[in-house]
Amino acid sequence: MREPTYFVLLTLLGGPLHGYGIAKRAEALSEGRVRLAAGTLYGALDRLTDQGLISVDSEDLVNGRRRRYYRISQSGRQAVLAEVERMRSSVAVADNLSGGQAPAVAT
Amino acid sequence: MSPRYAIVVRAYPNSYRHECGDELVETANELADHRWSFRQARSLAFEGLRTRARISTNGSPRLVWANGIAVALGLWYLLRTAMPMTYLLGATGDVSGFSQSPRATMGFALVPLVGLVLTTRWPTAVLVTLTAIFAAIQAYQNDSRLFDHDDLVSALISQGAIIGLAWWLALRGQGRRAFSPPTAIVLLAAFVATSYVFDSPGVIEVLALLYIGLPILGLVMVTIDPRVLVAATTLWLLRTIWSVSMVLAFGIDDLLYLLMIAVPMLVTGIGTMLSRYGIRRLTTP
Repeated sequence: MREPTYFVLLTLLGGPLHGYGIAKRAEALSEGRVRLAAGTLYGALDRLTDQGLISVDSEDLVNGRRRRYYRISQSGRQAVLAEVERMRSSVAVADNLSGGQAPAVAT
Repeated sequence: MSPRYAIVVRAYPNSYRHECGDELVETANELADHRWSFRQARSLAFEGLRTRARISTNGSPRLVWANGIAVALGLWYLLRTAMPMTYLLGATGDVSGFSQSPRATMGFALVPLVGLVLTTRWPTAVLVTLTAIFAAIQAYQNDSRLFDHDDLVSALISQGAIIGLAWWLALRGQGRRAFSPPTAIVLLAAFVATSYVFDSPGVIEVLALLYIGLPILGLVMVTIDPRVLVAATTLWLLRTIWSVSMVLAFGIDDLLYLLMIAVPMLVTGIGTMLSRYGIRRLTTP
């Protein structure tokens, strides 16, 4: 799973969000490392929707324009938690090898 | 729609743009604090082209391969038939390299092509196959320039392109609607066809454009539309097979023959690996 995708799924763990909300929250969660542009963001959302990891929760109109809210599915939740577990075990390996000197990571 | 990103958002397919275009542009505006942003524009343009590739192949790796291979087969056929076509259209009076009957050769080449356009069912595919094989044998007997040399294997390989395309279309069962090649390749094919007819630039330059330019274009577009690189790789694979058939027919007595096989094989191998990478990028989140 690529990092932008991972953060898109992470943002949706907190509840449904629209595109702009997802991008801003991903940027905040990653401390500015993941800055999603509109094309990349909706490309990721489309692929995640195709794979059933997220779905459109609802739509509303803002200034006459449609805005879709996305929510994470059960399989999406499992996928992101599996990724968290994978990274956690990678960090544990690094900790063991460096004698606990590996830099701390925010989880 | 806001005019700020109206042009770049045209990279998306029409149906997608009508459904989501306003939302995409509005989000791009918000993310750029309502100022023009090159980063947002580039993202919309690239992702638009990527969305075209994803939608026309249903995001299926198998269909990305099939679509790219079909394009290469079409290009290969175009290369094989372009020379006699220029003669028939009166663009060149030089017939020194042609068969005894370029008109007949061209006729045999065009019959499968017409069949191909109509191919949506198995019986048509079988008919195209039989005609293509007959055309290859006929061209071989007439020492046809259509297949470069009077070698039956080479002739059959050339006609194999049309046969493969016919069977692929029949397997898809949807005819022409299933055949949606990347826009870049359609433009390139049109350029090659007109170049042959008007001899501007020359044939050698056109071949160089196809065999060198297409892989370069494919590399540039590998994460946007991997079908271009699949097409380039397949074209070089056909070139490899053709070179092998030449060597088998005339024997290896020169280092050049070995290079004729080694270089296409190398390009095919690298192209296959990179194509797989591009397809994975296109189809996974």
